[in-house]
Amino acid sequence: MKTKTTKRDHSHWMFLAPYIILFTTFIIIPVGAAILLSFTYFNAIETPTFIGLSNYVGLITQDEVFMQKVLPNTLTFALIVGPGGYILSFILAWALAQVPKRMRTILALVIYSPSMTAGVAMAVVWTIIFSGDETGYLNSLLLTIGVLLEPIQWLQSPEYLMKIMIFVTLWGSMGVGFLAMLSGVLNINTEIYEAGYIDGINNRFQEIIYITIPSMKPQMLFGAVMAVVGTFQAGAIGVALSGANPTPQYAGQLMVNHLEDYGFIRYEMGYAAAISVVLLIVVYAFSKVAWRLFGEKD
Amino acid sequence: MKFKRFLWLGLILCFIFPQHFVTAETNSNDKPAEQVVEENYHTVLENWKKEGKKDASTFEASVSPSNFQTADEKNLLPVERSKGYNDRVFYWHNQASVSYEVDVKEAGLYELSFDYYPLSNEVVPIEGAIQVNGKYSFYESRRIVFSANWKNAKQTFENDRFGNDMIPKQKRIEEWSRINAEDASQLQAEPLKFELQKGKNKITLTNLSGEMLLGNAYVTSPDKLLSYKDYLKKHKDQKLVKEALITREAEKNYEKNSSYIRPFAANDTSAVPSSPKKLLLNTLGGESWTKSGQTVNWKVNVKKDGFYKLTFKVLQNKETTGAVFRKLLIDGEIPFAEAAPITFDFNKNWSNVTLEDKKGKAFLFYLSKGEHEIGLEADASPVESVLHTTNNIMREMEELTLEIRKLTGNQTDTARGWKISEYIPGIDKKLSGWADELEHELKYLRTLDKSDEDSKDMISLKMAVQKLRSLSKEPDEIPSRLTELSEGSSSAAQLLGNMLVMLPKQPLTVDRFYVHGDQKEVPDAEAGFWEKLFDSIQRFFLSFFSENYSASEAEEDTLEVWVNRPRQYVELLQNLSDQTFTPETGIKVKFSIMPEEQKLILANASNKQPDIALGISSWLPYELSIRGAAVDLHQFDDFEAFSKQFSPGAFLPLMIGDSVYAMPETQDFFVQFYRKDIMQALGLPVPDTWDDVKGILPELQRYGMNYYTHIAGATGFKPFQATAPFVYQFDGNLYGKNGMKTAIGSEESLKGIQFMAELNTIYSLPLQVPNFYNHFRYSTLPIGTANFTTYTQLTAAAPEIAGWWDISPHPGVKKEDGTVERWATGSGQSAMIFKGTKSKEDSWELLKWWLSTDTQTEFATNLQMLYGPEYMWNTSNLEAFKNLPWPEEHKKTILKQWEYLYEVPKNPGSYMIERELSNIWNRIVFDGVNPRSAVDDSVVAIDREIKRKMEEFGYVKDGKMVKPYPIPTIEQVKSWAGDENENKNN
Repeated sequence: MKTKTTKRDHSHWMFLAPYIILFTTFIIIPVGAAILLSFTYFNAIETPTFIGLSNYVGLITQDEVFMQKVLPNTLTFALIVGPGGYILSFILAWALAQVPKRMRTILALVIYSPSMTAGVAMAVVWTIIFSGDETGYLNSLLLTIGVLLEPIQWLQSPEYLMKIMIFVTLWGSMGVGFLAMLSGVLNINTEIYEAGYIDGINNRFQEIIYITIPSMKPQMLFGAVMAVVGTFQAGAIGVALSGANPTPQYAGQLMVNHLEDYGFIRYEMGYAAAISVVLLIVVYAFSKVAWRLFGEKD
Repeated sequence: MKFKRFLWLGLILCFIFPQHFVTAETNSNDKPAEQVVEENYHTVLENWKKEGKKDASTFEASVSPSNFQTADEKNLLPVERSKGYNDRVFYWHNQASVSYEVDVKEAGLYELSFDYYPLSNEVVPIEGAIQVNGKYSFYESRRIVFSANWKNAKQTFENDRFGNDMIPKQKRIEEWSRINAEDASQLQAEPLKFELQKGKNKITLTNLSGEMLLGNAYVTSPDKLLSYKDYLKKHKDQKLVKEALITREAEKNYEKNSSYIRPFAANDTSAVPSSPKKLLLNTLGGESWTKSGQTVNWKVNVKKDGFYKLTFKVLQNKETTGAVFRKLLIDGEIPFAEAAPITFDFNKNWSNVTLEDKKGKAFLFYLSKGEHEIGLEADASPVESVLHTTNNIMREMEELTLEIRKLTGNQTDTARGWKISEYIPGIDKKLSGWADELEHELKYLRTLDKSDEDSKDMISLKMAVQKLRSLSKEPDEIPSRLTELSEGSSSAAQLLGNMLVMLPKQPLTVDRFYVHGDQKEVPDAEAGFWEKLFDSIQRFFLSFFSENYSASEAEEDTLEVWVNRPRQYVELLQNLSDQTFTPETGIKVKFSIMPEEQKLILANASNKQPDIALGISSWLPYELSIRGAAVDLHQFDDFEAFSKQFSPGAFLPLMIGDSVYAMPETQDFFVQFYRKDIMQALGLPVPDTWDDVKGILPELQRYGMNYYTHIAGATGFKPFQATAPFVYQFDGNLYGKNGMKTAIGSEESLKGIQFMAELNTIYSLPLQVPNFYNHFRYSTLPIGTANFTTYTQLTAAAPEIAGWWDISPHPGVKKEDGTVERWATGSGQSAMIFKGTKSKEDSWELLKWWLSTDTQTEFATNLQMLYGPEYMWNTSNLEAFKNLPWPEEHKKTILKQWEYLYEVPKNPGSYMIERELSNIWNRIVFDGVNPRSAVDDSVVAIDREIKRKMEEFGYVKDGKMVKPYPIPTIEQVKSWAGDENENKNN
């Protein structure tokens, strides 16, 4: 192989070029720019000035909202929606694998479709359902059956906003991860199960633990990474539901909202860049955890 | 549990009832909403029919202006000033009234008509009222419109920078003409008839608005139109002219009686002429030609005497898929009875409609050699009876609902049973009676067009009928099923209401028409398949190169202006400035559409900003200026004098210290909207202060109604518009000394904040109302404070309550000296100059020209003239605002409110005050936190953020104030241009 001409050695760049170009322009450069900007003061209009680590120091020591509301909110949200959505995806995928093919296709489409609709379009539907006056669907229903005496302000009251955000996101989280798991479950060779039963498995639960999950590790990993990235990047939902950034009493404020708050309301792009870098690190850390759990160790 | 609630309700009722009777008695004389005394014409006409009153037999009399009786002889002008009328004429203006007497030989029904010459050259309609023998004969006689005729100033279309056709300027045709007294909404098929007694009758014509010269007044017996048979008989020796095709493009050479019937550029190869590259104005009418009575007359030159057929190439794609109607006019007259109305059926494609009788045989029209006018008049009279019935039923429905509400109170418990038929006997018959009536109208509507499919209007009617029928079967359930009767978006009343909006509209797009003999001569209406395909491929590729008003680099000597408004506005703006500004000053200007105002910040960062931006939100100039991107306008010598034309409060958010970085361009207003009918029915006065509001709340809420404030309109985040007025009305302030701290913790501010929250916690104002406009129409929120948007919606899109609502100034807090503090915001759009401008002076010249009274008046007038009355322009120039063609009473109210305009001034951290005010409200209302402690928590957060931001902009260094940040005040703005008052900071 090595004796071939050098010409041939260059040709692989041709094939790689589209990916490299796109990856550089859309991922590497923006991320690099964000990291650079995070060390500056940049008010979106004047030229950035270098201020060292001040942004990070400020974020950790002085940003009360970030520490008191945004970080706890983001973690709560991510820990429930991430694993929750992930487990739900798996359960649904497994359950779907048990039904006949035609039915399965239809149901898979039904479950998958919420994640296809754009977030904003979704929020419109949900704001009507959770609308705070008597004409909101949920309020109207609860009033009619006599559970409530007066309408609840679902989207304005800090008490409910986070719960609704979680609910709505879970509803829409059966995305690509779910499809991957479904195909993972379906692709397991049935002979393995037979072998398992011969070796002493005696119920479906053991089947899942000892055969299904280990056999679909790649898909589980893919689903997990998608879930982690998705949940940390979710932010539009709280703002879309409550109508504006910031959410009432920062009740539904997630990292992404906080970032937008600083970037587009306070015009402190440097600080916003610092938040985004922190977000990047958090996402990276969590996907590392996912790798640990499901990655092939070789 | 239920028993307990019952008991409570009973107890509460006991308390409220006697009180209610007292208030009803004392208040009913206070401020009664306007009472309409007369019956409407439809009813009067029916009564006449019943009483056997007949049209008078042939009669014609005319009264010359010399014989008019008037209080002011000066208004009777001599012949020289009569603009070519060979008699003395009456100058009819400014609420003048004029009377004349006419002697008729027999009692009966007569028509009135007048010679007139319109004078007022604005969009102000010329309107008057007619009294016969000192009385209004019917409601419609209170408003008679004297329409003016318009034409394009030029008959060819000029092109804009991109080679697209522009709509020409509109010109009023100045000539004497004769007009019949007709109802203002033009829903009657025939002119209005008036009942005259035998002998002398006195007719009085009172001016309401506009100016005109009045010539002879005529009293005639109603005309009977010829039938088509008689028409043919009359011209029986004429023959059909063959091979004489005359093709007329509809978009050219016409006269119209409404300035805003306008040509459109149809992007369709079937329309003639058409070009894939440019926007050619090739059709006329469409959405601009929907109102009954709007007429277009085309001039046609006929070469030979004889009979002709008429074919119109039209696109009738009315949203509801219903039919539309036109009256055909030849030389201003309807030739025979069958030509009014002519039905145009729904068709998604262009079609050639040959005017024909019911059997499909083309009508023959006699035209003599020479010039003729062929006209079409939009005509909603075929559906008038449907509208009338529906309107009546809706009114009755409203009354019934109110009656039920009075009985049941604010009761949402559906488990509770009512024996409603005992309280309101015959309620089921009433409902089924309505259903019968509506069904009858539905059947009638179906006969109007040929289509077998029901239009949306018919479906609405059908559904309303079904709902009424199902309710009438179980009348006792009505209280818990009010949502099906009159409340909410799917109620019978709302279905009917929507139908009332759509049914009278008569949109029709005309491309061209043909005067012809043989049918074969007329070319096809639609282009062929291949032609269409080729055209759309061309359009697709050309769309990559079009640059219509997009922001691109301008030449060196041209000012570049980005405008955050739709295309119509920008086009008109470019036009105006090309016609007046550039010739006067020699400064060239290029206007472009800015798709999004956030783009300005990016453009600034990359140094590609324009010279001027128009139509941007009022918060944006501040953000740009504090970061050094805007030009201080206060540096110009004539700025202070110029600023006097605006509300002082409007400058506050655009200022830093004494520098001003933008001009207010449009201005919003928060006023109180109320339903006259409901307030009257409940006997409630219109509140003037918040105490008054508190006074009427128990009464309103007892009927399940409520008062709306902007707090409920905002979503989760309550902006300054909703919160700040309360602070200012209670004499509080948002900023403390030097602008370094917030003052929302002060005694006065706290009081305001507390009251704001109490409105929701104690007085149960709604917490969330997604759409006040709809609730106002359904009368669930018959009163509330809202802004310009609601005003336009209600004027343009709520015909079922037209005339039944009014506005009054924002409620406020009464001071000890009796004045009411009504402070409210009114953030409109603003205009600013960028630091990177090519020439500061030239840019300022342009701003001055644009915001001057003359330009603003002309712009507002042109806008409404070209695009219709719903294109309202809420200019911030107070003088120009006074000239706007809006109802005078409303203008007065708005101007009064603008004296209390207080836009929230800014400091670098004011967004924190805004969001913390929202959070304070949220904490008090939802978490039940004590106002004092809620405010105190926020004060800490706000002060910290202000300090941080002040440090960013160099007002604070190392925790110490370097220089103060004076917050602009109204007194400071007022002190400009020579006023003694020096800068005063709180």
